[in-house]
Amino acid sequence: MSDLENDVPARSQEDAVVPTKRSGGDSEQRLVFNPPIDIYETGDGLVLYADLPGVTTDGLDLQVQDNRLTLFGRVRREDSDEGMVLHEEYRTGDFLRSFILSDEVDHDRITARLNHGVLRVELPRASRAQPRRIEVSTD
Amino acid sequence: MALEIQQGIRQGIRQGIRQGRKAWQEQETELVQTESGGVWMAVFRWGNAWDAFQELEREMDRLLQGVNLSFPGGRSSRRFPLMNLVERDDHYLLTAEVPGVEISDLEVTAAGGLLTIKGVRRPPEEARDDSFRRQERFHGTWQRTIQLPDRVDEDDLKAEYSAGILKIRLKKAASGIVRNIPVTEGPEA
Repeated sequence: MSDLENDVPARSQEDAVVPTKRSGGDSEQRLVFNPPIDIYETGDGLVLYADLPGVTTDGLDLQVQDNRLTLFGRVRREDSDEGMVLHEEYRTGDFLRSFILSDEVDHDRITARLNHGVLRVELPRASRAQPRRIEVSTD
Repeated sequence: MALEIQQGIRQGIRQGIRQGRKAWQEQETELVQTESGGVWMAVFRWGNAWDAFQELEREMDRLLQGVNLSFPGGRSSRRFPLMNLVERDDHYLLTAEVPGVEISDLEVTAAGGLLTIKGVRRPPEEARDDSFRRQERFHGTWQRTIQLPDRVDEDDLKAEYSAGILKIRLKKAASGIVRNIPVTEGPEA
């Protein structure tokens, strides 16, 4: 966990349910979840997967600021929430999680793709600077 | 998290059972010693008691497995996928969170009052088991079956999949819809 660290205390890995009041149109309280993730190493760097069911590309906000990668996925409230609840295993809310990137990650070449509610972020390793030969001259 | 709690409780119970077993064994040993005039005997009766304790331990495990220790509102449940069911006027709506599952890997069947959804969530091809730094997402085949509410028209199911959420509309059979029966005034008796 040296290249990429979770910016969230371990305790809130899961079950992070934080009602937040979001500024803007709706004043209703929204739930924010910590989405489950996978991180694995490839030859080129790191790949991150996050489960964001209900999030589409227009609801997704992925940011790198300084060395922090933050993902926020907004889930649109749908009419499917309406009706008499007979059985409930999950609740609808937004997704938020952030990570600390090491200098090894090339921030400018980070790419992301969202497919069937799963976000895939590629974090390529910065190519090592080539050893540069410094010419030494005499006066 | 829920798994850890479950393991913790299990450990506690195991320890308790072990202590109980020990106490029982000591008591039994004393009994045998007095009976045989202070001479140690092979206590063959222990065997049965041992079994009884093991059975108790197994039973506790079985009970614990049935306990849902996940926190309400949390996403720690190891069940996959998570499902909700709501009832509307003329239909039920079942929604399941199956992010990352390809439509071709999704199967919905209904028969005999049971609705089954199954599929597979494939791990990324280029990832090897030892290359994971963090693994929180579920991979593999999954299946869930639920009992359909009464009076659902099994032939009229509509399934839709978008953004990782599967929605299945279960139309109520005609007999399940509430009908208002007008009451008219009859001839006075």
